[in-house]
Amino acid sequence: MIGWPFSKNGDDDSEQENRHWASSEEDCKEMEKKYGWELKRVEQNEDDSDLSVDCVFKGKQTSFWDMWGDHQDDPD
Amino acid sequence: MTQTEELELYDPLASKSTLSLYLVKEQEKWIPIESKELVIGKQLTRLLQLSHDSRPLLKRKVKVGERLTYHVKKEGSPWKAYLVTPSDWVVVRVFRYEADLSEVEGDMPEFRDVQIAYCERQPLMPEEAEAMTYEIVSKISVDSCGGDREAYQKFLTSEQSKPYVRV
Repeated sequence: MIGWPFSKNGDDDSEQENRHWASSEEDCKEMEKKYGWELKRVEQNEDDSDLSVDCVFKGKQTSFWDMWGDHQDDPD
Repeated sequence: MTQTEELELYDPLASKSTLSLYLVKEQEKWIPIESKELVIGKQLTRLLQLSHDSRPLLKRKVKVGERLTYHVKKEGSPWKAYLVTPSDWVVVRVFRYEADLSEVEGDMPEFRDVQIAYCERQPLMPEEAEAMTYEIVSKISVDSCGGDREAYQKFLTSEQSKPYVRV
């Protein structure tokens, strides 16, 4: 069974991770500094045409319900 | 005010992050890595992971008992979904080294301090690993493009952006 992150205690984000697309590793570092996060890893997106990256941060991720809300307004 | 008091109050590295190096502990076997980068090539290394930490200072200390994780891409999802999966490696000792500013002239160092987290293998039973595994999705915001709103809007209209969740 998969443990869903949004079922965890919302105040304790120490065990969670947060993944963001970025155009370069420098943008990952900028996000780390701007938001006061911990940048754990930068992974290269080799399936994309421009070799962008994904930054893996320590901390609370956007919940499934936030995602749901975000996309209700999207034009089809 | 004495000079000592002034030094205690002024922290020239207040805005600098902490570099954490997760190393295979002494006497434990090093791990093989391989890269097309010639200076790395194929070798054995002690470095399992490194992180740049800009959280509040008190939160930066790596905790003994922390288990390193890795991400596995989840196939068949409309989003760029990943499973955060526990590895065999657990932090067993942590040491911190502070920057020595006595001989620094000009630019400040990139990091305020470095901490070394020594790790050892503590394998999990498959059911334990499964219970600790959870899913996350890759997100995108204007900061993904270094704050360049125009580049961000352009990316959002591309096919490439579709599997990413906007925040």
